[in-house]
Amino acid sequence: MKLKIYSDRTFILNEIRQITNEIEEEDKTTAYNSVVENAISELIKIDMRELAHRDQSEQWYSGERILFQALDSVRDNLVSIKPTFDFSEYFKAAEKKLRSPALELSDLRRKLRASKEMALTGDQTSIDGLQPYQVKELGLKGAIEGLLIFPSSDVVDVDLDRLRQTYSVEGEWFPFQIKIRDFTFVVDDDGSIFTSTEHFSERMMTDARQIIEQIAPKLYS
Amino acid sequence: MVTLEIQSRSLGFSKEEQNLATGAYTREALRDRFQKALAAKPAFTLAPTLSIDESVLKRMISKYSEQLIYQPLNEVRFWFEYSSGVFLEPGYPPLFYAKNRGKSVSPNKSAVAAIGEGVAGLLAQRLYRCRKLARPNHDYPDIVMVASRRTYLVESKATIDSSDARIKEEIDEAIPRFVSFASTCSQLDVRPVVALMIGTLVVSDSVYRSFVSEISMV
Repeated sequence: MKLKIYSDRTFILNEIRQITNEIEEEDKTTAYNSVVENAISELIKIDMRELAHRDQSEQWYSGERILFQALDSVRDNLVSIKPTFDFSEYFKAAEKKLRSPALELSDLRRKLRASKEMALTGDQTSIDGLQPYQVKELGLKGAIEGLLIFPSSDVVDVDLDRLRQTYSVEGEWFPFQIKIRDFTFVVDDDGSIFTSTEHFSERMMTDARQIIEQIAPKLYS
Repeated sequence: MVTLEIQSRSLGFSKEEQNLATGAYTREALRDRFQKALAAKPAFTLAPTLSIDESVLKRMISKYSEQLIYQPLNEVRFWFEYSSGVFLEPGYPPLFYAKNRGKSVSPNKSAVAAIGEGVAGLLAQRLYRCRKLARPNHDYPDIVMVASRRTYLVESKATIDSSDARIKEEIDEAIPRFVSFASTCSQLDVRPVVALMIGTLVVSDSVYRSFVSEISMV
């Protein structure tokens, strides 16, 4: 099974484009569509998280600043895919709903900055190639709870048949589970590969890392 | 490894029944009529069991749960350990201090809810090939998903230290609100709406039993 997989952001944007096309075709533009509202809120959450994570400058970001910057960014994205559609009511609802999460993100951004200065967090490594990806250690150094690999780009081709030729892949659909020795790896619908490493010894951690890094090039080949 | 036993049923609700569901909030007579209509619909039947690795569950809990809870699977394991009475043996805490003043000892509700949300997302993906569109914050339903140009509204229920009969009862009590909401969405949405109510009974730390109600408007 070969599949084209989209990042969460691209997937949601594509869905919003399709749904709004269907709304126009059925002449339902005046009806309030809560699915569109939820999808827009999710896009804003994704942007807020990325913004709080990416920009590690010393500058203080209030929750409001994070929220409004994400609102602007999502609005720009939607205008580029659907310039004539009026999303204003959905943005009003999202803004109201996401004020509290934005405050939490502002606080977490400050804390993450301090943790990174002390090199407390798990490493993240970029792997180049035709379909580049990132390897992230989840958790704090000395207590890494999981390994996550995810594509660097918004769209990636995955080849599950190629994985099945080498490994025992269980499941008819996502999340697939791959069993290798005592380890289980999870392939999900955003193209990520995850394995839990709770309470692993250093030796087990090294083995898990070696195996997940062997799976990734086969999945993204 | 967790054995996930599944029972499912498909429920179609006519326009009249959708209205009954909405009225069931405010009038007992309508609630009774709705529950009668629900009782006449197909019962749960056994579906194939899934064997799910804990890594999969952990990933699904991170993806779908709104609970800020550290290691929910270990929390549940700890609860079953306590429930076995093993705490009387040497090496365990001598007293369970919360037992004072008639307080009953209970499992961590956030951990159980987190597991329920994770399992609901997992089953929506595996059984319906859904992908998450949104995980609304402190809102209803728990997850909004899409598959084949259909909207899936997913709501989870989870319980521990209970029985099949009790969780089925809890699911049936929650159905009118869900049907009423799905009916409204279905009128506003341009796509067909399917509502999935997924209740999970945590039988032990290695056996869960999920009850999937697939609800559609007919």
